[in-house]
Amino acid sequence: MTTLLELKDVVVGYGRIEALHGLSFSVEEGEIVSLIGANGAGKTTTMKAISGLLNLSKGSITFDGDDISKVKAHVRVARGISQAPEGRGIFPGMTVLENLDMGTYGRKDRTGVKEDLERVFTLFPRLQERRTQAGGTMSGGEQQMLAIGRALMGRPRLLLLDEPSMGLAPQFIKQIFRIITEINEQGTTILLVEQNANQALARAHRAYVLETGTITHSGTGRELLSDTAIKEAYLGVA
Amino acid sequence: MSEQTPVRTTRAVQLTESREALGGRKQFLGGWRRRWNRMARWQQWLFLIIVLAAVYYLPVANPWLITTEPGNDFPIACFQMAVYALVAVGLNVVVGFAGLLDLGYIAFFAIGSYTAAFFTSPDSSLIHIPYLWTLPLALGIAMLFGVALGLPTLRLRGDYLAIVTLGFGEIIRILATIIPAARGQVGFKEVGHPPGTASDGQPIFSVSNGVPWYWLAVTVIIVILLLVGNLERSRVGRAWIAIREDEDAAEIMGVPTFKFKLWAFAIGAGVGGLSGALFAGQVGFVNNQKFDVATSMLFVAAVVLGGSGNKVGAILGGAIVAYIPLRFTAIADYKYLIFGIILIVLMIFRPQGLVAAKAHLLTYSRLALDKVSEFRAARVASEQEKAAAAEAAKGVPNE
Amino acid sequence: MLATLFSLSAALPASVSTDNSWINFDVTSLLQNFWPATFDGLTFGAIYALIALGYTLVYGVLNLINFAHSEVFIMGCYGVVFTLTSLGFGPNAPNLSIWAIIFNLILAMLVGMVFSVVTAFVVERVAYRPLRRRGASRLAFLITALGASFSIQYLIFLVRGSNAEPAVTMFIPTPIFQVFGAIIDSQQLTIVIAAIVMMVATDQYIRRTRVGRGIRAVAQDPDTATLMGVNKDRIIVTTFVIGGILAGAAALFYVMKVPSGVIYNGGFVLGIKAFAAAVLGGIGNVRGALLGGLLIGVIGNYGQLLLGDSQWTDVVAFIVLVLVLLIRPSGLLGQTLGRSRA
Repeated sequence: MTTLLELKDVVVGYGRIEALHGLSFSVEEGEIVSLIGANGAGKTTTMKAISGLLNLSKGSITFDGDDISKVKAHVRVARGISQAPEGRGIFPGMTVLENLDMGTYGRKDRTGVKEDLERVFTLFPRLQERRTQAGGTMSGGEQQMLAIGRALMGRPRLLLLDEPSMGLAPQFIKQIFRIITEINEQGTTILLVEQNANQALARAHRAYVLETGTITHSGTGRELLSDTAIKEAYLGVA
Repeated sequence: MSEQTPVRTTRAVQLTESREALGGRKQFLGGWRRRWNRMARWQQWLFLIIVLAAVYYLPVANPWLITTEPGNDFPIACFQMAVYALVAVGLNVVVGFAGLLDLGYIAFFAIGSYTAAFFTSPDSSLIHIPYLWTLPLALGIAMLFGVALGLPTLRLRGDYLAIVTLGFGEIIRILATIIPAARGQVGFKEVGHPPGTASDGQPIFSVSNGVPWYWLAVTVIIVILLLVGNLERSRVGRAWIAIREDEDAAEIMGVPTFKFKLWAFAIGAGVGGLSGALFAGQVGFVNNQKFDVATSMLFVAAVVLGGSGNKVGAILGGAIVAYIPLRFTAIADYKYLIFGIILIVLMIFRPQGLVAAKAHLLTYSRLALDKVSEFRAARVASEQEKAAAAEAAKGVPNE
Repeated sequence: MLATLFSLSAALPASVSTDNSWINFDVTSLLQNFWPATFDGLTFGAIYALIALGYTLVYGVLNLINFAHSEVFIMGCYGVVFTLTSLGFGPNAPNLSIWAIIFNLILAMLVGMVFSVVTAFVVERVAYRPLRRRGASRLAFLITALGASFSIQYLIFLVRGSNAEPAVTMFIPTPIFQVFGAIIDSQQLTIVIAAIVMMVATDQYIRRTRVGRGIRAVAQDPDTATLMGVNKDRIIVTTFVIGGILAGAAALFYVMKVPSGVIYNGGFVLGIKAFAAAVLGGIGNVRGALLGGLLIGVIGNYGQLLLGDSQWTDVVAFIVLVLVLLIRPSGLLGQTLGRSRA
């Protein structure tokens, strides 16, 4: 296994307020890695730092052996990092198909777009039914599917998922996580950020716990799932 | 539904905030403010009286180097500076306090001038009233126009207000040209002036004598400053600041943003009308040639240069914008270009202007400062007491 | 026929009359000249629409009223006039073959486009991009836009002075056919058809091409667009350039219609009218700009006939703008480029 993504001592701040204080972790090729933490722990900030929407004040991010800390966000997409952002970020005025098409924007090779579309429609049959509907008129769960499907259209090497379960009904959450595993089994490395620690840990090969901008625990998903401190703090088990 | 700033992305937010964080330390003129806040009340009053005396004495003193002569009569130049300062104070309510961009301020100025002309010039067929009465009348009429213009636009994003006011500035000038009753370029002669005759039989407020006009204008500025200052410290002022900082949040917190925006816009318009009437009185002649939109840009430049949101800054900005072309007549032709470029440069490098707006709320600023220092002193005292008590407590068993 | 419609402030002598009336309505004039005024209005409307597109596109992606767009347009007019003058055109139409005229006009239009595009590009780079980097407030953007607009106006003033450029007549309009007793001439036909073709091309470009999708994506959600691999800065420059190209075309048609209307502040009122057109059609909406432009052109002409002075067109356009904002701020066709549909 080779290391696909590595963060070293990453510091990111909003003005004087530092959101991440020296964060280090790595994602190996082929893994699902979960990053769990409470509100305000810095999960979304981490995602934005990886995708390039936020600048680092210190530290470095390495992707596939190259330092990408100074690489612009849209170039990182072309290198193979796709994200389904927090809040889904569906283009409301575009149809489902157009939204999916946006996922291929950064792609250099246009071959295989059709197969990828087939693949997304196989994963999410609902999207095929709704393909001419405007993105803004879909339900939250459908938008989440669209966001993940759109990110897959970039044929990423690393898929970043920011809170895919947020605001979804329980049966939808199960379905989304099942699909996440399926995507991973098809060969895409996934970094998952979640508040829903139970599912996120159960599905992950490895996981990190983020608390106020630093990693406090790490281990395999199963290890963390059985850790009493984590149970108390994140799994709602006393 | 959601109001968006121009592509204000996360990175942009990150940068702003870091800059704001830095800005706290390196404040130009910031030292003055701190010193002012530390002064006792009587010291502040004394300082104000000295400054006021100097301000009133300015045109008579006609100081070397500062004077605009021989190019321009200095007392009249002073009057024009005062008018610009008054305009800037009024526009500052709109731009600086409420964060609305009014680009047609010249229109309200024009409305004020025409009000003075319509009711005092022998060329007008309307009823005639004493000139001084036209000052409040101009204020009121300009306010009415402000409300009429604000009603359709202030419910929408600020950009619409900007373009509508910009259009309005031009439309008023066109109307003055094409409506027969407004007399186009022929205009209105012998616009009225305040009463009073000097010993030589000439009226005190003559067209050629700038000093009394300047004193009148400065007095008006002081009155307006007191009124605006009171508003600024009241609930209204806090509502304006809330709207300027985050209109959506203000709305959610129950601030009737539309109402307060309309108030700010109308008050600004009123002060614009008032300054127009003053100007018309001194010049004694009103026609359609004096109110081009480019002057509106100068007004905005005055507020932005001085520091939008700050009254002292507005006065300073207004005076500077009027003064520079009068003093340096060689560059007078370039003034629109110069101030246009200054606007761009300021927005990029120093958006807060010469005198930055106060960051904290004004209502309790002085009071709060006192309270905080009292509190600190009290805490230091109580800690000392505690320490002493602890020492004493430790001491007891030893004995 | 209808006189030139644009206010050239200093040049207009005031009527020396003892008339103390406020507004006079001349209904007979409106009824008599209704159809010619309609077709003439459509011609002007096509020009407004081309300028309006520049406002609409930039507003779509940046959420900013680019006040400097009126100067982008007037710079294009200077490009057109300079080219035609150096090609030997003057106050009287040259005696050339139709193909020679077409060639010259296209050349002038291209130069006009280059002038406009360069202006738009410089404004974006010098004024707006630093503000975006800094994440400046909306007010700062508007003030900068204002500063840019006036800086360019008075730069032109410094170089070319306060007078309008000498007239350039491109060709004598020849009647083509009649509708409702009104003559449609070759000039009107050229302008309207060319403008519509350009607008349809723009519409298709934004709907069908990859860059067009990028423009729409940035308009709807700039951050997510970046996450899709869209280079936001390049998209923004592109919209300024498209606006410049259309303004350059509008410049040619404007000079064709108003040969002596090129003056340093000549873009200003046109800009307001074009913006009114954009709002009337629905800002951010490409098809709306066309509809809004044509309507503003026609309504303005009616206003002029009814009220008697050519400058009333400006006033009428302004009143239409205010009424639209009052009654239907999203415009006739709604706003589509931007995010307002959400």
